[in-house]
Amino acid sequence: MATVERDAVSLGAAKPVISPDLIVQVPEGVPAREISYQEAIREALREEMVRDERVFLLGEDIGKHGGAFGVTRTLFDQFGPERVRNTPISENTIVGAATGAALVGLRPVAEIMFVDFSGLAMDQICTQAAKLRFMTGGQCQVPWVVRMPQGGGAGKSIAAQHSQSLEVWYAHIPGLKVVLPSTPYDAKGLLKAAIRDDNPVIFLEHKFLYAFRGLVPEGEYVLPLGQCEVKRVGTDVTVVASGLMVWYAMLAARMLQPEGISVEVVDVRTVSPLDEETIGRSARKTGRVVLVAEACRSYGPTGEWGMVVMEQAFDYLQAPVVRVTGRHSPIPFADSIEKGVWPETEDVVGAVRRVMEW
Amino acid sequence: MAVEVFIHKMSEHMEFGTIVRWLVTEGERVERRQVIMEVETDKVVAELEAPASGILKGIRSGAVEGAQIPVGEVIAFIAEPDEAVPTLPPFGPATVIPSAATAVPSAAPVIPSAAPVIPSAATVIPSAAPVIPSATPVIPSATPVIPSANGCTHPRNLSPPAAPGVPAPAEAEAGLVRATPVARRIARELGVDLARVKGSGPGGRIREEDVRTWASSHTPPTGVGGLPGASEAPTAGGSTVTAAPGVEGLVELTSIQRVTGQRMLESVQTAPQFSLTSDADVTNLLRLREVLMERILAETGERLSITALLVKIVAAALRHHPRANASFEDGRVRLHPHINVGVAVGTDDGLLVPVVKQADQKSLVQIAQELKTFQDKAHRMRFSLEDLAGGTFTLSNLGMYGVDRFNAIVNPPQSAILAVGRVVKTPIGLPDDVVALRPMMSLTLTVDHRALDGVQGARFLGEVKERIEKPYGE
Repeated sequence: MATVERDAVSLGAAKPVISPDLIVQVPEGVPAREISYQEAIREALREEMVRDERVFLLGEDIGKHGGAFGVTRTLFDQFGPERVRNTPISENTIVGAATGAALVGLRPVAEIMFVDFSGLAMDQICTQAAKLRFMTGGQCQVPWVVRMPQGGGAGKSIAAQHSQSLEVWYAHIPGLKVVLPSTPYDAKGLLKAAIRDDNPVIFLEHKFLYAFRGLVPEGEYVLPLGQCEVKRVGTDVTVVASGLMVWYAMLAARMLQPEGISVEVVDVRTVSPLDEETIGRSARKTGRVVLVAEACRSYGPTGEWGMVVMEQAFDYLQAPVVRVTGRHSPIPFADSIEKGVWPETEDVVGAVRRVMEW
Repeated sequence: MAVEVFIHKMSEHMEFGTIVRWLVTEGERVERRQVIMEVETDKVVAELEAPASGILKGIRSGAVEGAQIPVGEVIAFIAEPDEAVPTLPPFGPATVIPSAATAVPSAAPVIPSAAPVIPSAATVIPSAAPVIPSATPVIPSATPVIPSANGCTHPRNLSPPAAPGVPAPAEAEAGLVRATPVARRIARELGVDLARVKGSGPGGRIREEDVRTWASSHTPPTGVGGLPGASEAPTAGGSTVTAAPGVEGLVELTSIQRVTGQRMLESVQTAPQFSLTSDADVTNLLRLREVLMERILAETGERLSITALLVKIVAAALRHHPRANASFEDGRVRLHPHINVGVAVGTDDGLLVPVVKQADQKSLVQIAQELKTFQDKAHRMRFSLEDLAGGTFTLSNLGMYGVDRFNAIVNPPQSAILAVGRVVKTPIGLPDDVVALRPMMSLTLTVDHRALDGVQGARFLGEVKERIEKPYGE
């Protein structure tokens, strides 16, 4: 069972840890297995490829090697080189080929090794794939999924070009959907939905969540895109988060419980289209909102969520909306300063306490 | 050298004064000690004297009738005719806070031109440097606006200035009151004027529960219509209070009423009070009054009242019962050196208690004279703070209103109060089992149990009754 332990320095005496029991999404009694986020994604790919022969994979090293992060392990053996295709190191070509394949009726799932590299495929993603349905009056569609690992972790030192969180790049483009699951359960169900969706979907996976484990029910299930999930019901403060930050929010909620502060955690899950209603409902219920995102602060996702809260819940606010975000900085390589770039659980705890003071 | 004109602190707890009226205008020559303004404090209308001779200039914008000015804030200057004086930032707009229904629910008043520094058209300052409204939006969270520093908040009990051209910038006013968005909404919905709500949040911020608490403690009595506010069309001045007197609606309290209410609340909350009651046969007292009436009438021009006699009687009795002339203070009873009997007087603005100082040392004539002066002052609302300060015991007579008996509330920090009812011819049993009609008057002594217990109170009341029934002699 993999756990992520933070430094003793940052967490204090009790050293609470992030563990799978923080988020349990399968009710008691439902047959389920505990698998990793990585395995969940693989299962989704496998099941969809079995279900629909138009689904195929393309990307760098996804074949025999099983992918840079091991996500596509065993799929090459199961489905062969026609459906699990290694590509040259050319992001533009990967997405361009996927777009072309989608236009003629296939349902490709392309992998770009790091979201940081996706800039090379921007034209294909944003100007071509996102627009073609609309520019052709619906005569064609681009039902692809582009999977991209994103995010960083303190101490991992993967640095400026491999650690970014860039969901807002794509959330800003009409025509694209952007998904960012936080748990194995969500990853599997949302990827299946993404593959079945006829629109181009950017599917972002937090690379340090790959090892996180969680319960996934037996049997087929698909989760809806465009819907937040309230992962923890509370009454005092709403914490809206995505990706790895959801785990920090859940841990912070657990840490604040003994103080009598009841935290509600809303997992965004689909960055675009954003489920404004769930966010608004929660904000109106508690009147206090903390937004947590790993992406850097400026023009980051919390800006959008904050305005949604204003629009949906202004007259119910008891305190200003507070956000906890990554620092507006390229991510350092040296782990001593890398630590200062991302939010930590204590930052979420501190932010909750601040809004409670109002 | 320009001399500053400001409102002095006239009593211990005074923080604001309300400008009743200016007696001079901008540019006029004033002499030192000349009265230039009437200012109202919690209790009295005081006269503000010019601190120097010279030309009154630089009257700060917003220092108009009805404006509530913090003690010590410069209002104007007295200077040489050709001397330039500084242009001070205006006080907040001197208008009534708009009704909650018109308050703009913006967290940050981001209308640059309506930043709360608009000089009112009626009080343009003829100074060298024009006041330029800030171009940048005022964001409350960045620069906390403290209403007291700006000075002007809701003027108590005064209708909005009728002067045309005085703007009522609702947005700026809304920006001066710190309240959470949800508090503002609830205030709108319940018709609560945020300016009257005390905030319990950090920095005095008004929270939702503050608004709800205020609303529930200020609901009009049954039989009166619903709260005005959200459902009413706002008047020109935007005042929440639009009810005509005697008709349904919300009634503004005068500051005297408000302060009295607060002090009575404080009294019942802090002092454990109980009452002792006794009915006194005033046959002899009335006879004494008759005997002395002519003389008092000759010397003071007024008829001798029962109250004047009671003041003298009570003062004499207090000499023998110092615990009733005391205050409970920090766990101990402070006995007062002088016997200063306060007499409750009703005025148009509320209840006041002017004090007959050293009443035990004064003659009946003197007491009668003082009471007469109090009555005159009550009519003109002209009590000085000196008149109202220093009381050690209070006497309240509601007999002239047809009240038979009543329990008064101890007037803090005093320990006792005597409530007197009307004289009624009552059948009573006399020693030889005869029933006779006697003029009886109720005496109800309310006492702070921390200073006096039942027996001590009873003894004091007993002596008062004794002196009433046998007023002759010392």
